[in-house]
Amino acid sequence: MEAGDAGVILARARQGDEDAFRVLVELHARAAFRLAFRLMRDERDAEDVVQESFIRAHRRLPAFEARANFGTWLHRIVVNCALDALRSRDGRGDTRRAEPVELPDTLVFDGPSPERLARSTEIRRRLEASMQTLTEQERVAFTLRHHEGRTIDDIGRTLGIEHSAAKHAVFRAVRKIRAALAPLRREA
Amino acid sequence: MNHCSDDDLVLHYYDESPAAVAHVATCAACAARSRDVAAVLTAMDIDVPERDERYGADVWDRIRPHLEQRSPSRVRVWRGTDAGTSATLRWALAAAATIVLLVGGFAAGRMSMARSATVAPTRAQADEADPLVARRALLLTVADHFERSERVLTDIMNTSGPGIVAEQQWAGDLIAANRLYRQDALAADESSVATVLDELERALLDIVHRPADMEAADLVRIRQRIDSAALLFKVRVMTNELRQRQFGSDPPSDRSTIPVS
Repeated sequence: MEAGDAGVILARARQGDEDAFRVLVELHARAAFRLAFRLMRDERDAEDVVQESFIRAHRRLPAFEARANFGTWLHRIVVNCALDALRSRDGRGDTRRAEPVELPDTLVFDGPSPERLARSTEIRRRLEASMQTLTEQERVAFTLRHHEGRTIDDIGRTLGIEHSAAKHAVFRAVRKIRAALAPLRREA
Repeated sequence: MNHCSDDDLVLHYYDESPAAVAHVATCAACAARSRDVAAVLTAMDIDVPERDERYGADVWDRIRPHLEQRSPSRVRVWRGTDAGTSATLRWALAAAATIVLLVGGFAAGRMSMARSATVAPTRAQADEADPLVARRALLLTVADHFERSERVLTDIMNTSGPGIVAEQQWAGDLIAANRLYRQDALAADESSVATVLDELERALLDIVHRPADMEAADLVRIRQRIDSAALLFKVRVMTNELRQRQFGSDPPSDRSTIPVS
């Protein structure tokens, strides 16, 4: 969208025009879902996060700085909603997250096909389980770095933490993920 | 540089450490460890379930009942009970936003000094703006939109190859604004403007929905649609009319010279 169009739509949404806010939702919903799914790794939870994010965005829109980028602003709201949802999920001991998500078969171990298939399934299970061992901050930092391609600086700003803290959150996440796979690699 | 730590290799994978990149390029041991880290991290990629183009509208339907109403004064301004008043106020408010964008050189270059002084009110002033001034300001915005659309259509009519990815992206960017302008034009009884915007929207959707790797026949069909609707002609004429009305006597839209198909 050209800057002029985006500016007009945003200005109108900030003034309470429902049609204009609807356009913003239609423009950004898919990106919001992608981010929410990567953070939550669960489709239903991701849908909840998307809805809550737009409701929050609508509530806070009058305070939104007109010169800022709506997509960037919404991105932060989605991250914060996901953080809240992850904390809430941890708090109630929800087991839904233990369901493995679809992972591409990219981790290669040598071996005959049936064995490789079984190993691949085990790898996926362990990788998904490893995500559950991360703290909310590690999980979000890792997701933003790995899936969203955000720089460490960006991650720090989004989470409201120092560059060093953001970097170490990513490091800790990767260590935990690698540790979860270590037994399999020794077997291989 | 000494051998890379595991953390260095993570930064190397994400291309955030030039020192690690340089070292791994010359050290076989670290290169092997780097491949090991990369294998694990690559395996962390996940497939995100697809959401189609209707998804945004679905989300809107779900959240709409939960959205808070804005302050009563604003609601009153936007949702007046009298349809005519509401339409006029919608144009005035939309114009206020537009005016903010127009305060720069673009508007200054097109309007006389005296008129510039008239159409650069504060937000509060704009809410109570002369409907004619508000209407002219919005006509300027719609005229700009028509000009941008004309450029996309012209590019498509003149391009040599079947691939029009850039034009498709551009058309996609114009659709949302087009929809808003059409709604406002209808609300303000600007039927000719709304009709051209409606035809334009259908053409833009047709362009956007074609596959990125379209064949020559697809491009021919898009061109035929633009041609058969005389869309470029209508857009050009409407742009000229709107420009004239900005500075002229603002005739009602039913005097438009646009041929309506």
